[in-house]
Amino acid sequence: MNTSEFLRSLTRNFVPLGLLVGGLLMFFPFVWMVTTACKPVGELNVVDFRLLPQNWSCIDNFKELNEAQPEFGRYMGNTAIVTFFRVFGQFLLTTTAAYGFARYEFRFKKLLFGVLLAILMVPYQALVIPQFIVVRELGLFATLPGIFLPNVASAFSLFLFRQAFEQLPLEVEEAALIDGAGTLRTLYTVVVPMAQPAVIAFLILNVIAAWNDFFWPLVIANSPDTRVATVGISLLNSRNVASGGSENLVMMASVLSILPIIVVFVALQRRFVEGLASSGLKG
Amino acid sequence: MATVVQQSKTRVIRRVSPARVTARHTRRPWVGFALTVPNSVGLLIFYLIPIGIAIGLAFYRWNVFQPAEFVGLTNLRELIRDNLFLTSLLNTIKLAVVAVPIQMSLALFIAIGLARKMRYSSLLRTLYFLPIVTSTVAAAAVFSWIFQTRFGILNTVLATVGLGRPNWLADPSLVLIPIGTVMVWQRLGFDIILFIAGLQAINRSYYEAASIDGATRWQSFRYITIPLLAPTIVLILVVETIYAFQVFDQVLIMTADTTPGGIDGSASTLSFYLYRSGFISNRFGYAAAVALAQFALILIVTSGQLFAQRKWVGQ
Repeated sequence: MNTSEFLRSLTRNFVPLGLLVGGLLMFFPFVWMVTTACKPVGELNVVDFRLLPQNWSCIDNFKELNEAQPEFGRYMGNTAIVTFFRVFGQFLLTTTAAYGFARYEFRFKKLLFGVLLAILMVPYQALVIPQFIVVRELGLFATLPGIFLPNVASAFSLFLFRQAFEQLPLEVEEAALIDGAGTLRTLYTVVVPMAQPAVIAFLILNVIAAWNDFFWPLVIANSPDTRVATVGISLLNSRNVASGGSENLVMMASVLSILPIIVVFVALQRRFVEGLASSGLKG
Repeated sequence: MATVVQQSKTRVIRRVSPARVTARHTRRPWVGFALTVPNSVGLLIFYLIPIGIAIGLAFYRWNVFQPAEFVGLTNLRELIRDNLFLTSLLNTIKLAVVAVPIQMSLALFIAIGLARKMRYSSLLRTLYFLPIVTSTVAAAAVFSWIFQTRFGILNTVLATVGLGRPNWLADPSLVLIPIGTVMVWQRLGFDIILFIAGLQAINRSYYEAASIDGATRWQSFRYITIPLLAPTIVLILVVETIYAFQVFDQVLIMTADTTPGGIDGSASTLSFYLYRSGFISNRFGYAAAVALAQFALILIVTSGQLFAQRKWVGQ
């Protein structure tokens, strides 16, 4: 075996091995999250390494979480509500607007589109304070609409859908219009289904962003009725710091909050990856 | 045969001018305008007006409870002499300069490995992609527990091999390491996805031609992969730099143990300082000035990166 053959066999066998080790390292925090969530308090503060709990206490910890933060279920519900309205509202607003920009001609169209696109330049956090002021003036401070309403309009999704609609052939649309379908009906029964990759990219990006959002819900709706799951976890975490020894509950809440989105991800991984790749290359 | 016809047909359609509209579309321009109104109104209320407020507010003193008072350049003048602001600025730059290149080079090598077809590759991809869908709050919470001084799993391992038990989350000289670790862990998968997409877009025939000419693997990588991947590299660099300039969640969660923002602001970032000035200290005018500085930083750095791209890719 000469040197180059040796090197080749080395890479053939060690690249997959390296990738596997790296992958397991990436996965370890999830394992640690779940096993910690199932450890009794006595097994948390020990100096020797134990991956698995000696006494599995998943159910006990779940009950204990319910006592420590009885509202956590409600926070999860709030996350779901806020995610739904943000995604559904943004879908309606940006698909209609994108259709208008993609298929119609009207005065000042280019100017209007340019102004809206300029919003993409501004980083999200530069707008947190003025958005806070606007939402407060609208009387939506500490309400669920206060969380999702500012994110219902979107320049990014408008751009994403307009690009997608412009690529579509006109014939099918014309046929629908000739058959007497109205504008909105044509849009949602013909145009949107043909733009499926863009719809998937939109769903992925927005569901992840809405479900996991923290900064905005923290500043606009940090009250017992309107907290979302991430804010609840943060609260639990700072209480844990004060009293100590409840990392298992913080991990239990974390597991519960990420579980729904991970299930959806594993089920739709292929589309997820395609969607993210296409959105990234376009954006 | 049928597919060939199909293909040539779509190609013809693609070549038609961008403003493709039917007769009915052109006849009713007001319908088009009406369709754009709801989204435009939302953007006006929640984005365009706030942009105006953001700029104006930086020149006022305002604590929500009393009417705002115009103070001119006072906020900006205070900013450049404010040690906590300067520390936050420096920390933000450190995170961007260290975490982003580490994460991008790791992502590139993993993507090259994953782009090839092999057994279990879809399982492997899942392992790398899962952190993307995880919330930063949950990620920061589990990493605080991993990095915990006395009972954290990392220090348990380090102590076993005789490296002691560093106080990761409290020691001002170490605290950016766990924060950066969460950044890399969470963003790695996203970069891998974009790199794989970029790698798969490179025509295989370049590599075949190179190997016929006797190029080594390193030469193929250096003279084919890197130049052809340049647009993807710049895209990821810009996206990740913007992300790094806005790190917030990790700081709040991971320093809950000591002082929020770390001892003497050792873990404070621009976004964290903005939050602290506005929503904790009720100095909204001052916080707006912090936001303005953050925006300026992002604008300067990303336009610099895009300028560099034009020179690099344009060669």
